Amino acid sequence: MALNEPSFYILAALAQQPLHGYGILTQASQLRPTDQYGQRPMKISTVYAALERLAAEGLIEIDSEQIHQGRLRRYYRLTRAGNLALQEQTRRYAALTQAGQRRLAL
Amino acid sequence: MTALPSATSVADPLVDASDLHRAELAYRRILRLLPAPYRRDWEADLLGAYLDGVAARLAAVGAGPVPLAVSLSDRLDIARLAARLHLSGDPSTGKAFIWGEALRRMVLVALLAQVGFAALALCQLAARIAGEGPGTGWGESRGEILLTVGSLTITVLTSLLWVSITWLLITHRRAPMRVACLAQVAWVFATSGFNASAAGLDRQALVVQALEPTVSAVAAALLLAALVLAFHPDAPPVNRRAWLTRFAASAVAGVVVFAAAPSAGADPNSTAIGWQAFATTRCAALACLAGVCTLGWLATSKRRRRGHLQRRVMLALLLALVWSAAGVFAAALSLAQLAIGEHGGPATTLAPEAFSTAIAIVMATAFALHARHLLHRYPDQASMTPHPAEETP
Repeated sequence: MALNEPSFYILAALAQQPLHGYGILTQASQLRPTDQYGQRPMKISTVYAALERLAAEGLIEIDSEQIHQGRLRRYYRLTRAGNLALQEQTRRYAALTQAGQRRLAL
Repeated sequence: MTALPSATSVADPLVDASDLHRAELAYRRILRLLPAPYRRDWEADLLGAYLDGVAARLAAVGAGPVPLAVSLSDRLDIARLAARLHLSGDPSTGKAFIWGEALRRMVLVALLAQVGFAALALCQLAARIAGEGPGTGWGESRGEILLTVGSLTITVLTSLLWVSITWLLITHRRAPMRVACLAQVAWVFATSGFNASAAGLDRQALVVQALEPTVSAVAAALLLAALVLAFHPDAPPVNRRAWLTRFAASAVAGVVVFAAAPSAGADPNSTAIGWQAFATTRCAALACLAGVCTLGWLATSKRRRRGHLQRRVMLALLLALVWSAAGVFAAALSLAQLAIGEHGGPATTLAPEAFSTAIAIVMATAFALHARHLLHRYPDQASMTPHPAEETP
């Protein structure tokens, strides 16, 4: 299953520990490579559109729900399928990188 | 651009809880833009993320008053999410997907019409440069020459921008397409006053000359807004081969219309700006008509459930009526403008109007049939299955 860029960063952010929505946003934003404009944070709408899709596909699931300052914080974690999808995509990116490096003789 | 402050580093004591509560109410109001089933499942979590963002921003700059209004960037962000959800690209979402597909096809057809009129405008330019056919002169006085050159320049540049936008959309280059859309909006509004300012007409003609391009500019802006909303990142990509073929067919159709106009009693060279006005207003109207045909078919088809779509069909019909009224208003202004000017009375201008309206009807009918064919291909269950969130009590 090919993952788009936001989905990849979200799964990667969840690889180490369960996170809540804003935590995913900050971690995923830090994982993105910087470009000429610096490190661009992801939008909350992008994260939540991806979270809904990933949850529907069974790649993430709810870990727990906590109340913080009277507000709900829902923590998400990777499922086994999500872990496999992340590994597969990481291998694909690694293969692409190696192919590019061989061609460029880096 | 700076990175976001980490959620774990938020110094919560710096933030006044009652102010955050007021901010929460403001966010809740904006979040009403999202579909109700989605809000039922995600609103509390989404609200928490936005408020965490507010708290983190405040903590990053030190203690200060909590903003009681939602920031512009968050408003735009929520509006973007609402567009993604209401015009979904996922067939399993049912109604939202059908709405999204209807709007995406309406926009594509309207853009193809613009490509046709761009070809027409380039034919007009070529004929004028070659000096062939009636009405191809540049004018007698310096003012007339300036008006002619200015009008043609505006028409050709506007047309080329429409062609670029359509090409970028079909070839899946979304980022430059958005830039081109912004440029087009700025361009059509900036040039909408040209005719009136350059013409030096009396008061009655000035009103006519000023209003028609403004109506066209608003119609163009609505079309571009619909384009950006409909083709969000989750929308299915445009079928490149099929729409490139239609792109070429539209360009050929524009040339054919130019060649056929004289035999229909119309002078293809006399209304350079009028053709562009026709392109924007009439195409917006025909796109709405096509959309209503699609939704009407969905609502009345026996194989689909009626109740869910009836209200939205009525809303679409109302919008189409308003939009069509704007198109008719622009056409009436166009007639009045030509009657006032020295191009002749309504008798000679009715022929091209009738000719162009006939083209619009043919295009709308073709689109309605095409949309019906396309939507038939979606399985009934998939297209009308409720969103997973709708099933939860």
